[in-house]
Amino acid sequence: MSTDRVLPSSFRDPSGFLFWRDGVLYRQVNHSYREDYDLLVSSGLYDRLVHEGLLIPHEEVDLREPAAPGMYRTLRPERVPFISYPYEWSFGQLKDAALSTLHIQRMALDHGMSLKDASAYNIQFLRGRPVLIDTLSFERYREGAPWVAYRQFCQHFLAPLALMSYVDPRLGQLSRLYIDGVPLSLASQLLPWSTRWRFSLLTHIHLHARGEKRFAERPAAVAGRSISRTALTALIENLQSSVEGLRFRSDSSAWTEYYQTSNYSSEALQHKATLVAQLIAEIQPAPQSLWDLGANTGRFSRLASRKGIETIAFDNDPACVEQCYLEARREGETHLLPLLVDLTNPSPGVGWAHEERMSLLERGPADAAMALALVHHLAIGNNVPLGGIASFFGRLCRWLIIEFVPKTDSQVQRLLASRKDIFADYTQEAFEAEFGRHFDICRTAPIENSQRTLYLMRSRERP
Amino acid sequence: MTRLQSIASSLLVCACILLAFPPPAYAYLDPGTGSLIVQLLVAGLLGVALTIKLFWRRIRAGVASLFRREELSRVDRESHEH
Repeated sequence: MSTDRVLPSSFRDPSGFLFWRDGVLYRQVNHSYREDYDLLVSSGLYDRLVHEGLLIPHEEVDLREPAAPGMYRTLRPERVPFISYPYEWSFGQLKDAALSTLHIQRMALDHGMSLKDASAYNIQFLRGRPVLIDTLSFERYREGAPWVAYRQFCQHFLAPLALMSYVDPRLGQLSRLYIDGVPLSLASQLLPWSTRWRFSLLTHIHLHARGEKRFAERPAAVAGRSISRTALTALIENLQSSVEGLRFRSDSSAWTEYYQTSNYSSEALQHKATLVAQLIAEIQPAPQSLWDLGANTGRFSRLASRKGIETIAFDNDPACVEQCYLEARREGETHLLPLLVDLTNPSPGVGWAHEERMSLLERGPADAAMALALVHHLAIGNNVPLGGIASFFGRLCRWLIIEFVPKTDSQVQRLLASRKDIFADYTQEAFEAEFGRHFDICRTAPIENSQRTLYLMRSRERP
Repeated sequence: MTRLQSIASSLLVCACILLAFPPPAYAYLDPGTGSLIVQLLVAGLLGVALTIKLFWRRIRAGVASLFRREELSRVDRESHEH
């Protein structure tokens, strides 16, 4: 008797659900979804979307025991190496996810189907590109029917993108607060008045928000109304051009120019890169996944991703993550996923029962992690004791490549310039002692032309 | 009116009603009444704009092809004259 674990996020749609069995992820398609699933396949939509890399491919499998009654088919979808969420994406990532969703909807209409939801959580990044992971998102298109996911699209994509573009890229974080997308009334209030001059934002956000409030109690007003296929196509096209017209507006942040302004000499930087590459190569067995914590624009992350390691480049600066993503997209990088995460407040478990969207720790441990030029920011910039950093890192990875930056380093001096030095314990000896409680220190390598040291460590908590 | 005719006409009326009022699609999302009204309105506007655009493009293409035909026949005539 196998024990199944249904994914806690898989409860909204009665068409089916995801479950784990013996370490494999499956999707059950329920009988109630039979007609739509058959149409997805017979119309050629499935093949077309998979061919274009827009839909997760799957295999139909024959499980002797269904996970629950009402099973019509069981699918084994291709595994996504790392599940990420819209509030962890940069502007460009959310924009590409939005455009993929609309592209999919247009293709679906061409095949006599329509998306019945447009949740940003249904999109994941696979081999560097956004793909729809919910195979059960399609339904037969009925002539005259409106797009049932219109509001969800506006809340999950258009509203946060407009806010990031017109107000501040940090407002992407609103998606973390509002699990079903940014309420349009809120977006309408926060956007500058001038956005009413843009037809798309005037209608899809401002008017939409007013309409929701005004007509909420008048279901009779829509009874029997229909939308022609031409009008529906025009609506999707308009949403497409609205999204395409939104731009990431941010003056380069202090962090995107970090390597130009930091105290590294070019020899030290070069030596650091050589050492990091060596330390990655020393990890045995070779890591499948690597998290680069505080990755900036992904310079060192690429030492891992270009070796075929699934690498996540975490940073808390929206401009850095955006730059890293745009470069990865331009270069067609398939093993690098830049994500916006503030390590002093990493993504928590959110949604129903805290379980719908996983915390960062739940998505680990990574085979390896890198924390380069980071410890002083956590210890001095955020007052986390070295023991606390060591304990957290010990839980999130099996191997750790970490750089210690001493107090005499000019970057640390810069952090201490405007505050009292209350960090008597911030020493290399204390660092080694605290990390030694959670890790075995395998190698120590001083970086030439600097006061810094690189370490390769192996977690004792996550063998 | 014969009985058959009356049945046929009522069936026709039923068909018209069914076509005009599409059945609500099977959906687990609540599209929201206000949102649906906005969608009807915006899609209607955009649909009309798209139709006019396509119509206009067709007129322009038609006029252009008329001129092209004249141009072609002129070139044709000239080449014959030479």
